[in-house]
Amino acid sequence: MAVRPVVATVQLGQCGNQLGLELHDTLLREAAASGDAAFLRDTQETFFRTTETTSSSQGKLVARAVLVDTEPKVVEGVMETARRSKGWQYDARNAYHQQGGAANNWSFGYKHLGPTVWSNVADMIRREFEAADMVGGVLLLGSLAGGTGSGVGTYVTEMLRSEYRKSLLLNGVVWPYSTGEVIVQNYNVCLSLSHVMQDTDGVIMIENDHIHDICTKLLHINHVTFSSMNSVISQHLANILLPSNRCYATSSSCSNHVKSRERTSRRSFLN
Amino acid sequence: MPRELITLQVGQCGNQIGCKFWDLALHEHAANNAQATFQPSMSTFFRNVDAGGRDVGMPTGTAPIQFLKARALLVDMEQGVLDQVMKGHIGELFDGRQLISDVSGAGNNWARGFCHYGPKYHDTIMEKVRHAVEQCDSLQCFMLIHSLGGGTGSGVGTYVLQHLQDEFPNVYRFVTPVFPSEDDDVVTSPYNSILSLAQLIDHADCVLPLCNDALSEICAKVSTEEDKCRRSFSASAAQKSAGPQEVGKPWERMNMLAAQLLLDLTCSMRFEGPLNVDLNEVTMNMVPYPRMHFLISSLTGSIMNLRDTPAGGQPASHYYLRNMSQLFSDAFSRDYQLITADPKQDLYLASALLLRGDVDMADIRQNLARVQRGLRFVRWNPEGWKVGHCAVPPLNQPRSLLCIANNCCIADTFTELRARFMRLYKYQTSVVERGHAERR
Repeated sequence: MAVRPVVATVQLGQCGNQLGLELHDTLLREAAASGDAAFLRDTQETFFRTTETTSSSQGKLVARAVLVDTEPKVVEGVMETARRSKGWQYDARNAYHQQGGAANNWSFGYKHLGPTVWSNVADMIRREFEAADMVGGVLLLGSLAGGTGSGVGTYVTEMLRSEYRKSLLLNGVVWPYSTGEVIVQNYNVCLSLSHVMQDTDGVIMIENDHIHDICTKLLHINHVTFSSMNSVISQHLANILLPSNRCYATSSSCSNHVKSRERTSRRSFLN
Repeated sequence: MPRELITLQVGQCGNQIGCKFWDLALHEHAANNAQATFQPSMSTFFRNVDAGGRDVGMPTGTAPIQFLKARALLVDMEQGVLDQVMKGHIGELFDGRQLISDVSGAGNNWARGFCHYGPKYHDTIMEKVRHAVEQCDSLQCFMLIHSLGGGTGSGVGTYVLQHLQDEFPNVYRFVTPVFPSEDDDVVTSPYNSILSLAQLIDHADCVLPLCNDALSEICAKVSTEEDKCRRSFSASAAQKSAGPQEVGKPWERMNMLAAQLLLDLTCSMRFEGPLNVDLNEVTMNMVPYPRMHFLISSLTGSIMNLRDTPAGGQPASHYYLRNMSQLFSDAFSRDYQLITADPKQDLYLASALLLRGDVDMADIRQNLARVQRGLRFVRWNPEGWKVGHCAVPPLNQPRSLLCIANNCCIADTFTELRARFMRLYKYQTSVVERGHAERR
């Protein structure tokens, strides 16, 4: 059996964590619905790992993900939701949250909270990669409007690049609504992208306005919630993240896709 | 565990609003806590203590509630109001160490409160504040509730605010002052207000002013609408669904409005939701320059059932319910502002919409686009919106909207207060007793 490169997901902030929960669920559901056992096994290998079966409990499917936030409610809620209802779960050791929040302040997230977050999160990511036979890369999910996803996410991107020079680094970023979600969102978006561009291999752009239109005009959803928008976004992300090559001896479709699209680091925006 | 918030209730008005606040907070948490366990959301306002007053472990959501104590300090320079609070049904929330009182009162004199009682009780107050802070794991904010018209609330309140900034500079200071109405029965209220305002400009992070005139107009309007709704149902149906008695005293309804403002402002800190908004995000987004931190607020939805002891659970059929479009229209109308102001006629620097309950994004976007067309925003921030959504609805209503705005119409309120101040000061009325007033 060919060795699959694994992808670790870092979920940052409220948006990143809520989206990450939906993404992992969609990846598993899509792979299961395909009816192809090998495809399902490869998807599970790429994004999940199985804990050991002991005499007292069955082996469980655990997402290769690290959950980060600067306030506790979302991380705890997401972990609980996965554990209760999804058939898979997050590793409790891979959750890190602070208390105070980032106050929608990019510079507070980048300069002040980033170093503290990284000192805790670095070990979690290292542990996920040590549990894998081959490292594929890291997918960071977060919004650009707030303080955690943008500020802390930027710092974590820079640190990941310096720590894992040869691994693939993808940022899945959510652009806020143009009519305003956060008043200082324009600062946070510009500051994040200007830094992240130097270090990332690809920025997957997800615009709330566009996703909202898909929900209302294409899917005719009457009551659009963030949950329905996250489902749509997860479908889009799954289209590029799921193993696409039936000949599973080759490397992950994601890295091939990115390497074929970009020529220089400045043309690494994907949408 | 969510961040903690310490409430300081200063003066008669501050303590009366505070009492309504604690009453409403208890009902709100009870309505969302069927198992009667100490939920993490409760640790923002309350501590779970044993019979000896010691904290009982971390709020994991499984520990039963033993005794609840409020994270609060009650300050008044006369004992009448505090005695009533301790004898009332929420008296158990406080112990003697949380009360600071004197006998004679500040005599509606800001200088007496700021220059005499403030320094006299400085060590006691700050010691008790420090004790309350030590009981917090991650204190985010002090919430000061007081009026500006009297002596204790204005003088002692602003004195304490100044020292909170000195001693805890990294903890936010949110202030809910009640501005005196034009026909206030305290003759010296203009002096007290202006002298307090100077302190609020320098030492508060965020001020959400309230005005008695505006609060009483809202109460009258909502009562009228509720009566119409009640009469539109049959007599037998109205009798079957009769809930607790409606609050008769106007002050209690007005205090309930103020209390609801504080609960809606902090709901995202306590409960889960798709789009959380913390208090630090409010200051970050709503305050473009440090001294321009006076925010006008309007409440719609949650105020539509002003009852003394809310029934909890589903709203009764005769309650006055508003849909999303009506909530948005009301939020920007003059009639629902908590101070006497008309923000639509003036320039918005920033605006925050904090929604609770059953709302969806499509409705929010549509109504935002509709309302925005009729508003004037400053040229450097044309999309100046901060949106928050908490999944937990307010008591007895399916949804509510709290709109907080940094709007230039607050200047009219300041101008009016200054005019009242100058009318008195021009004739040197009562100036002899206010040494500090002369120097200012």
